[in-house]
Amino acid sequence: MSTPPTGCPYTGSCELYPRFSLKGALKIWQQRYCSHETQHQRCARYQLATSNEPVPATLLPNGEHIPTT
Amino acid sequence: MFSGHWPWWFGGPVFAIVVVAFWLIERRLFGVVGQYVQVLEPAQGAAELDKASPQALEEALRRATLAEFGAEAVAEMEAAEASEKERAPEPRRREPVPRAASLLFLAMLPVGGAIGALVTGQLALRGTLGAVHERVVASGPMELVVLAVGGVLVGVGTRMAGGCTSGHGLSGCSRLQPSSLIATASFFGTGIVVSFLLHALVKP
Ligand code: SF4
Repeated sequence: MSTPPTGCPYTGSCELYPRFSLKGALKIWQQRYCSHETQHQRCARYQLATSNEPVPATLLPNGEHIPTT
Repeated sequence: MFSGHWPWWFGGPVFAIVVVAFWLIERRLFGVVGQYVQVLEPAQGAAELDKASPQALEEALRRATLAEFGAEAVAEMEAAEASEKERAPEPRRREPVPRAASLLFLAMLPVGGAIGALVTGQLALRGTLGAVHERVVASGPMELVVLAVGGVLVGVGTRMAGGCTSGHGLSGCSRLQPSSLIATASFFGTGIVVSFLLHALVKP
């Protein structure tokens, strides 16, 4: 139930947040965006979610897409 | 205890409890349209992510991570992670909320409505919104058609507005989101104007 107290409010519903825990290096996204006091507001996913827009699962916080193919 | 409509002093706090409980349990902002979206329109690309093997996904994420933060920052992160792992066990991962939770929420909406009607002694199956609606809008089968078209328009409108009365009115306004304040003012304002017009129309 705990969420970073000052971080992103969407950690529970975000498709990518749990995937950023898959490997050590990926946690840098959580550190630089999700758990960061202010930087989570720069996340492209956060911005779409805040304006109630659908958030593509492959969208990265920096606005790029995960190349899945 | 209640007859006719439920009093505002009861409904208001109950709404507040629902919104706060929703956040505490699901870590999501409350909004009925959002629940429909979650069920009917899974996130674009979710299937691709699920289809990709964990290794391929990890590799793709790793490449994107290197491109964004650079090799040095990633190596630092890995080293910090390794030393942290030695000191403490890995914390439990937070899983995304399953779609079934939204489905259950939506299924319970009519159940809640039925309980509310039962408590106020108004539980009955009706095919009309009442005498005034029949007189001003339509009656008989035409009234059902009008209601169905109205329902579709509400759905389209709330998707265009990015939320409904619960999403904008409860979750958005309580967070002082400008878009929600404007949306709520628009639909409540329109509702008030239309209700005055209808009132004038049905006056004897
Ligand atoms: S990726 Fe973006 S939306 Fe998802 S939890 Fe992190 S900051 Fe929030």
